Amino acid sequence: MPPVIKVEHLNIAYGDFSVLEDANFEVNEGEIFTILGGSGCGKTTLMRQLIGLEQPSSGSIQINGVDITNATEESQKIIHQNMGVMFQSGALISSLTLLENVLLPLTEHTNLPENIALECALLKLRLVQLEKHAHFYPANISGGMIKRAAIARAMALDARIIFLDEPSAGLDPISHNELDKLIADLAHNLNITFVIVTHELATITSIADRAIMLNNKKIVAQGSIPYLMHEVEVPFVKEFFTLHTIETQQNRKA
Amino acid sequence: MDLSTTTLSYSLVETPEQLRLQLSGALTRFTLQPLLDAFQTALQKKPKKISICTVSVTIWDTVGLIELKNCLEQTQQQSIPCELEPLPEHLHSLWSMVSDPAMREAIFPQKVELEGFEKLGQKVVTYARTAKKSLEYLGEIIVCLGSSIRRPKSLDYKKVLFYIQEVGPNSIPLTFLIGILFGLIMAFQSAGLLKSFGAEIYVANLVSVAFVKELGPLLMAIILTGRIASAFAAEISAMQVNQEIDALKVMGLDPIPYLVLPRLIATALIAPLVALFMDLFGLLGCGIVMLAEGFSRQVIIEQMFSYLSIGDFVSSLIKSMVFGFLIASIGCFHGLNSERNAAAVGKSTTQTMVSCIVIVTMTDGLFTTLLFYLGI
Repeated sequence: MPPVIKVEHLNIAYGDFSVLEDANFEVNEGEIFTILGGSGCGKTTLMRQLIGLEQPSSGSIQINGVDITNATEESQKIIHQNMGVMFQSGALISSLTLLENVLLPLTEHTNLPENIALECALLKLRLVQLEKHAHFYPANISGGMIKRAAIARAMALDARIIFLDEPSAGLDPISHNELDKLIADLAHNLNITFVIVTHELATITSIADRAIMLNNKKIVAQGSIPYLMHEVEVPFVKEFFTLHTIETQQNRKA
Repeated sequence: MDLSTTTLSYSLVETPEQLRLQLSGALTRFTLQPLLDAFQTALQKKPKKISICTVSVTIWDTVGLIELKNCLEQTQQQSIPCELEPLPEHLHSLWSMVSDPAMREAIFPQKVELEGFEKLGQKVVTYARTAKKSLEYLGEIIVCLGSSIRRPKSLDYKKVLFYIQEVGPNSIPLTFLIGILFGLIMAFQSAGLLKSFGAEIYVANLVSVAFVKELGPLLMAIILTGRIASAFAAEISAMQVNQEIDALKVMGLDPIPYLVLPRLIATALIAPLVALFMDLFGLLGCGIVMLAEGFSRQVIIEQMFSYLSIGDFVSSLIKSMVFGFLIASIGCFHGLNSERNAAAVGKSTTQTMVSCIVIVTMTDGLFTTLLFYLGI
């Protein structure tokens, strides 16, 4: 089966400042793929290129076989309807309730009868266990709930690829674990491909299938999580996983 | 995968006991019509029982599942037993959610529609609460002003100077444009009428009295409402949305002396000067018209000031100061009392504009009546 995302010779730069050089990787259908790296290494910038919000300096990004770097406006629109994005802050529209936020893409992009669209939006909220908060405004719910509602909105159109930017940042361990479980369930039950920008080891080890590791403007390693953790000899990768493992063990002791 | 290119086909197998509806392909939001057609055709055959097989459906989405559930329910409502053969295992949990009757009983908050007196009463209560809040706010401002006068060092003079620059010199270009144009317009309009009485010379008196006594402060207030009050409201409202006001409070900083006072003092101090410039530019506009009509500079200036006294200028400056105070305090009030969402910034700005125009006009009316009876 061809990959759903194929990145070839991708270079990202702002003027003379290079962010990423010669990136090559593929994401397969239904897998949970993570983009790893230290703070400020360009993970979110890479995600913004993948979702078509920014143009790379050179190289190609193919989503379902269509190169989004030189796609027409019309085909970009179709690609965007087939992908969902959860931004780091949730980015829910604050003047709309959670239900209205999830309904928005359904009413704008489909001709579904009102009752079906409403039922569909409620189902998405139920999937993230927020059906009882459907009529709440984003200002009146917690950070974890905002992230879950943002995932519900990303799934509104039954997107086959969902991008999540730091989904568990700022969440307590229980909410973090619940969110990881939700992502794994959705990937398994609905065959949704997830691309997750994170540096949370718990997420990486518990649900991710494969990952790329960014450091120093390059992809320094890529592959399955056990391979990255135990077999890669790149010092940064070894340090990343060792420090995170020590931190996790210390947290457990505490 | 692009779901919009997916298709759904169906076949019907009739036996004496039942009608088997076999679906194949994709059951998505793009294939709802074939699904409805399939059920329609099956129902027309008036079977004893319908059995639905979805083994050959390879692509699903949630809308497809919801519509399948609706079709099953509609069939059962027509007293035709309908049986769904087991769905793929990975859809079991999703199907149980979709077919749960509680799904449709999503709790919509019960909106209580008020009528007649109840509605009126609610409005009165809302206005009373706003009035109470405004009075409290005014009281706080007065207390803080008093405390700043007693302890002048407590005031942030750098901020006051910054806002003086913002309200005063930065407003001058707009004041020049509006003032000179209004002066020109008024002079032209009145000259046409007064010419027929041979009283063209009195155009200068008319425009100068109108500007110094009324139009100068009023036009200044309109300019400051648009430029300053709305900016104050938007700025403070955005701070409210970002919880910056809360942060100030927990740091022990009262928002009134920290945010409101510098803006208020700067605007109240500089507003009379802006009004004076407005008068000057208005008279300049009038002077240009008079010069073009052939009057000498000396005559024009003499006529302009013949009906004006020092009292007129003083009352105009006091009025401008009060307008400046009102404009800044209204802007800050709506900013501080805004809600905590993105729409609140726009809402507080609009409320500020409306409140400023209404309150400034009302105060102007009050001033005019008062000054008339005082004979100033």
